[in-house]
Amino acid sequence: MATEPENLEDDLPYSQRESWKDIVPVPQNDGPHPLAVIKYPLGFEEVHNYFRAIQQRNETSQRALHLTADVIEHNSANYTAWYYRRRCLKDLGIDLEDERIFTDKWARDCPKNYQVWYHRRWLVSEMATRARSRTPGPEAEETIQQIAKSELDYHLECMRVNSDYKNYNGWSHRQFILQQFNLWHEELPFVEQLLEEDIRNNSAWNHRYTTVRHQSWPFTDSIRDRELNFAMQAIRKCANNECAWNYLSAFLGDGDGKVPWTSAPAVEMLCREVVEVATQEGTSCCFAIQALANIHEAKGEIQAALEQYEQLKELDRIRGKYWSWRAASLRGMQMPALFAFLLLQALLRRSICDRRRRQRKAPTASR
Amino acid sequence: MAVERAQKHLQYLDAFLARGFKTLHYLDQLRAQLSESETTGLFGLGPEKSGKLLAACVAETSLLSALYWVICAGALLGRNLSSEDSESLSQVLHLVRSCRKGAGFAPHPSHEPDLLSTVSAVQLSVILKRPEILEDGTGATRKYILSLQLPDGSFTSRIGSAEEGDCRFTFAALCGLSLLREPGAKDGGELEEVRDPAMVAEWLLNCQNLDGGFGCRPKGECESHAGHTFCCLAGLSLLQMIPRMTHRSRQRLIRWLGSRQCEGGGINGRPGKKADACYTWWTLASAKLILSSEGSSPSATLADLFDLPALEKFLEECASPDGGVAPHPGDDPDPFHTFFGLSGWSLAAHAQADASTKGWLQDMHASLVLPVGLTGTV
Repeated sequence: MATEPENLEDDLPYSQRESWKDIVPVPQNDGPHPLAVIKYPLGFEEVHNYFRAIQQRNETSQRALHLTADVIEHNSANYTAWYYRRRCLKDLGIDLEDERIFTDKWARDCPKNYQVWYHRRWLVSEMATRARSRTPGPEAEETIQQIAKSELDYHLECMRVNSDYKNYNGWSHRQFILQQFNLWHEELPFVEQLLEEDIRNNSAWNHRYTTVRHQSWPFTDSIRDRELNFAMQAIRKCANNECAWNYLSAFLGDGDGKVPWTSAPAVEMLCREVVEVATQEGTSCCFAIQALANIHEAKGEIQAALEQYEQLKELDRIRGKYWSWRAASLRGMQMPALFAFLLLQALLRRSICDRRRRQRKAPTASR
Repeated sequence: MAVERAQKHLQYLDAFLARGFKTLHYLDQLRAQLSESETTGLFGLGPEKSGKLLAACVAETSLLSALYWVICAGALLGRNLSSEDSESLSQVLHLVRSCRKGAGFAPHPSHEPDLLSTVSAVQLSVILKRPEILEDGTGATRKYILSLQLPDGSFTSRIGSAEEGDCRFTFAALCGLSLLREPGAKDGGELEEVRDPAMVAEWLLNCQNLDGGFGCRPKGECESHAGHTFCCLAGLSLLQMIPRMTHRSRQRLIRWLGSRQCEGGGINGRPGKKADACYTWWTLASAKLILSSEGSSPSATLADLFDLPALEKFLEECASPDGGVAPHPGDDPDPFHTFFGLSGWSLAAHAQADASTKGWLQDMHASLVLPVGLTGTV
């Protein structure tokens, strides 16, 4: 990226470089209360003094671009340097594909640094704008799709290199690309691949829901069934997996895009199956019992639901308090229901009595 | 026993602070040494690596927040640093002052101002009872925080940074503004100076995910996380808008929070992750806020949702015998986990009638993240 003479000078301090001769470095102004003990390591101070000078001159040039890389090398969280770098790239019309390759290592080595990811977002968006203004039409769109897809591959590569499949910034970046370039429709195989590798990867489960929601909202019955089946299959492979059970409850219960727990008999069957297998093996699956409790609650089988909570209190000791609370809230809801039921019965009885009385009276009156 | 334990933690924090200031001082000397011996560098690392090592120390992007963790943990253990005439107090005040840049504060004297450091400075001014370090006679700090609000209602970390809003920044801004409120306006309903508080609340409510927890940004963009759940809940609480949550969302949230306690008593931050001492705070504080808000039924306390004795046992395992709290049993302690571990421990202790820890840990304010005794002095 840098021009030839600068390459030769790269090893020299800025003050000895021919191409920087015209610049007077600007030292830091510590303000009215300088903290005298802070001094910087070799190179750090000089690079920043030159960076200040460049900013004051408002200079966007090859050498300024080169300098920002040095500043970022010293402190990759320096957002001013990143910002200035983008200004240079824009003003000079630098080939952004080169820049993308150049920044590859920064995000790979430092995936928790938000600035790098933000820079990548800007790069990809800017590349798309440039492609469209150069040759508008299907050809440009084709190029843009390629760029966006390679960015998705890059996200996967970053996860692989760092063996971290749950990095928040990376996932956020991925969702930005998918949304910006409307690539949601091809996303499911990728999620499935990740879940294949680690069925407990909650980030991937979350991504699956977001993907399905973008692909097919409002959910049709067949989409919902497909997703329920997917989760059920995952549960069959590994029953004690909070993520998969949480995924079921994204489609079942009360709320947007959901159907009642009673409307998926296959889920109830699975729960019983899982509980049975666990019992035979002398273990337990609290998630299945919890789902059964939900199903009983939805059916209005309060007593049966309370029994599940009693079991959970025994099996899931650490959350025993929580299960007692759940049982108490169910009983709390039950009280008004019971009251309403009794009231209804009383009213019915009265109206029946009334009718009988009327019937008894009516004949006499007619007589 | 309890007093001894508190003493150990205080000693750990003091030692950390002293070491921190010493490091800042040594950077100066090391640099001199480095320029004398340019060919060999430090510790035989060679000049380039030594330079980078020192740069990493100076480039600390959360120095002021770290100071808040250490000082606030001390206050939580009952230390009243504000009335001491000690060297460390004057060092702390000096460092905070030197981080002031215009109306905001930077994480370090050589950096630019940002929101999180500014809020840390505000929190430190409250703990140390030194409102004057903010030099905020004209409300400049408040205006700086307000200038970081984005059109969608959320907050960003720096002016013109083009970063997106995020629930951490939004909470931090609301917390800072609450602490900076005029004394007369204390507890006086909504934070009226925030543009469109209802929109801010809506933005935070939209961070709730399908599983009941909250992510960093709205609409399922980010996976649920206990830290982000806390930021959303505490933000809503400061806006006095938790009642806007529907009954269903509350139940789902309580379920998600209740599921965070793991075998062994500790609390994790996301499904499928290991228990970690700091999530004690994020999870218990969120649970306390939702349980104590109106409309949660049946009424419950933390002791009704979590096995607090088992949790305390886990925290005891995370606590180092020499003071300080580590993320996991057996790890080395650090100030971040010491602060959030002890803060969460305090919530657990104060939720139980007979907790042995109650005596040595002050009660924490669940949304302002300060000992309750200090929140009245703002």
